[in-house]
Amino acid sequence: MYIRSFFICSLLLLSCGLSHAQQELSLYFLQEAMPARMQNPAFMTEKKIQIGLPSPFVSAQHDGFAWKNLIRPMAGTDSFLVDPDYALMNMKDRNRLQAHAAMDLLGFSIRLGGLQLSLNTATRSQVSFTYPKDLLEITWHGNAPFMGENLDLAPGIQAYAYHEIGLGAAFRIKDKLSLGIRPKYLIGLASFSTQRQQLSLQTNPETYALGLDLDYSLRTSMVQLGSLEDLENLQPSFEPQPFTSNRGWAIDLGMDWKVLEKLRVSASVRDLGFLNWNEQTTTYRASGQLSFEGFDAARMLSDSQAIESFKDSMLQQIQLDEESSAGFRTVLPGTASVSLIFSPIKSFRVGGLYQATWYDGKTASALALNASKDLGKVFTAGLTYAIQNRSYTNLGLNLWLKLGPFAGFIASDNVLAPLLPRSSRQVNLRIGSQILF
Amino acid sequence: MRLLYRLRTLWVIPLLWCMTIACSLVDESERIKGPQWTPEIALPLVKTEITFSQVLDEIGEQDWLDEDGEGLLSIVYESESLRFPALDVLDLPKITVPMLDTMQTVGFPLNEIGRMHLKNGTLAFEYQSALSTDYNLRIRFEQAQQAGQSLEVVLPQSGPGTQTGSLDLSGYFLELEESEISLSYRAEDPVTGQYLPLTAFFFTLDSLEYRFIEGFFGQQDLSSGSENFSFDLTSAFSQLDRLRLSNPQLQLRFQNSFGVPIELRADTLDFETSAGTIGLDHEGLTQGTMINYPNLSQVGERVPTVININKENSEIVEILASLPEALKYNFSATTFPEGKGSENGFVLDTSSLEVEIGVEVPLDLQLEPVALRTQMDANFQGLDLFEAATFKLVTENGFPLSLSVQAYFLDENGQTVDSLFATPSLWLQAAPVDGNGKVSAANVLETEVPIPADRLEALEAAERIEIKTLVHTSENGQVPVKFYSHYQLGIQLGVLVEGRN
Repeated sequence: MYIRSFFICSLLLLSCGLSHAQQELSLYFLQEAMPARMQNPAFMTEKKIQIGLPSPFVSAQHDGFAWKNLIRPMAGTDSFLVDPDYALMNMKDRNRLQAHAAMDLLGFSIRLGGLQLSLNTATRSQVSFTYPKDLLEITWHGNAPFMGENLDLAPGIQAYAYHEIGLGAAFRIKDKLSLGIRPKYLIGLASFSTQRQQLSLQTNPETYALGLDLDYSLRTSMVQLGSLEDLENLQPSFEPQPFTSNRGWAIDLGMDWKVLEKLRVSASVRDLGFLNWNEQTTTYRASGQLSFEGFDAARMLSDSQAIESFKDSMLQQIQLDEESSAGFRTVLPGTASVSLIFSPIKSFRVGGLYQATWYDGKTASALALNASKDLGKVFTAGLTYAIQNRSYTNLGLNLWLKLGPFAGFIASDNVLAPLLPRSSRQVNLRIGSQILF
Repeated sequence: MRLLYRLRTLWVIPLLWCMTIACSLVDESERIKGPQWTPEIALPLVKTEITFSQVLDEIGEQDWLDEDGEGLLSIVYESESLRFPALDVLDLPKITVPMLDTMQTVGFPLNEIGRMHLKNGTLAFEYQSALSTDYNLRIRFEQAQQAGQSLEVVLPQSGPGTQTGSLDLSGYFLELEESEISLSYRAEDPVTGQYLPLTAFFFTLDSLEYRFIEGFFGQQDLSSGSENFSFDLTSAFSQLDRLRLSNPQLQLRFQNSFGVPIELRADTLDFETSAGTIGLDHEGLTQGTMINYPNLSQVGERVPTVININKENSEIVEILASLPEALKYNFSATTFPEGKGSENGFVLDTSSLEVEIGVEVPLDLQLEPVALRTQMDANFQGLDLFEAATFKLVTENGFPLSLSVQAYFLDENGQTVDSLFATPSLWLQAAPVDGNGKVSAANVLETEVPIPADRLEALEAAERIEIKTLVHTSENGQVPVKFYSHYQLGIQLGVLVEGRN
């Protein structure tokens, strides 16, 4: 009964949409790997010393449509047809294309009895591009089918990168409960994000007059667009610097409770924090209401400069503004995880994981089920089935290979992506290695 | 480890699978066909409001258009000003007066001249003298006056023989109520005042030019000479063969500064049309009509006389319906047509009689449906981007004019092979007018002009098209309408196109 309720609730939560932050579901079940402990600071290892070597992670997701939604077989032929109508049917009102990249540069942990101390450094970046379905609708169908409606045409972007230095501590209490905490010091590298994004188009069904409501706010740090006074000659520039005055803090909290001998329950919240962007910050704003009801032919007949005047008058309806002094803050997307791991036998584990990420007032959820088997002492393999990103065909894999003090690992939430590219909406991969003593 | 060793070749399976998938995608991509992109795009094209006066401004500087105080527009043609020749009576003769005695009175040769203000003139004298001493010559001209005083001068003279001299009469008034002049002379000893004899004395009035002359100058006939006044109603109303102008006028405007009664007649008043000459009958001009002239309190002023030739007193409506191109005219005039009256007339040296002719055609008209045709080379490239188009036209017509349009496709021989619309498309619906022909309310018309794919193809393929525009005034041209400059036309034009790739 409870399990059934759990699934129903999970499915409802999954309908919230795409996870926004870096989610690594398969890695969560590979708890010997140091990056897995970034997901829950309460996870402890039996090894006294661990040194994490560089571990890259890449992820790409698109919740708009999959290949198979756009390229469809033509009935009665061996050809395929680009079918934007079908792709549009499978899209949400707003869709997201996002990419994450992270590099855990170096990690170190030491176990002192019931206390485990750790230090880690990483560089993380995220680009999230959102676009409304209406934008593709109007591109494909034109504006005429939507006369009288308010079309949302506003794309948005959230992009930032930062360094992270974390210092973690985990305590074990009576072999039953572990608690962990990891404060993290953040150094922002660059940010380029829309704060307000409104661009809507209306077409009058009687006169075909066009109305455009525009309200955009773009905040940048370390990235300059150039002067808005000369829109035709914008010259974006970005000069990366390893250390800037963009600073912030975040904290991870976790617990790991051995409920029974063979059952563990874990929970964590991570990336509760913010980044203050203070260096080379600029806020670009564009707002206004444009309306175009047609050219004033009478004026154009009498005024040879009418076209230029028209352009000027249209541009005057848009208020452009750039402000270079104000700093701003980015609240990191926080993630909460709850997991249940059951070990019926010593070398075999099954588990479930629920993750929720909240950002910008929205919550995105993911659910994963995992089964892992230790094949001897050197190799562990696990399979993960996950529901996330409106996709129900995510089969993940996590592998762990230990050769003496060296261990390597690889984890992906969707190994089917290269095998089933037509239906995949996401792909991610984590590889890494570490030294254990 | 042994298990791993046994499974060492299994990695080939996913690799093969990936390769298969990759090949499948490559193969699939070569068999992908692009979609038929047929967006429907609605765009506003024109939104404008324009008054009739703005329309006329766009046509250009039109000096043949006029507007009255209420804004009623008229087409106006103005002739050059024509000046009648000066009256012959004013050629002042040279007058020689032989002095039979020291005082002589003779008649003034001009008929019943009462008064004259001289601009120029001299009083010359010549005589024989036997006197060897110095003497004074006193000369008096009774009728030459300044400030009420007659001209009298004393001239020192000397020596015997023929003597001559002259006096300047500029600025003097000649008072000629009796139509005679009195001259006298006297030679005197400058010391004793004793009379001295002179012989063969002559006065001569010469080079007389008046600034003003008053009196009765007799009946004189003047002629303007034959003139031609060109105007081109044909170009203004070309092709409007079913046009009826409601109130055209011909205006003869005289400016007279002769202070004498003048009777005017039109010897010739003929309109020239492409079909020939049409004479205009106007009773007053044929029989003779008096024109206004200044009285003695209006000396120097030009007094106007306007003779209107309109539908009330002529057949000008019918004549102008034939769209004449010119007016040929010749006027004659007679001064004092009724002879000498109780009052004198006057003439200034600047007096003139001028005539200007104006043709005024108020845009007060009615136009029955008439088709205007124009042909042009067709060059509509790029229409293959569109599957179909529908124009949506919303007009708020404050003009008393309807307009519908059809376009015909022509072959290389100029023969009509097809048309753009199934039936002529009504673009403007004439505004209703009141009993005075003035627009009472704007007429709103919403028209959709669909141009389906086959018409677009035909339009693109056409080499030449003929635009046929059917126009008429309100109520199908059965009532007169007036065009005012403030009439306004509002146009909103949008297009809904269906694109294709």
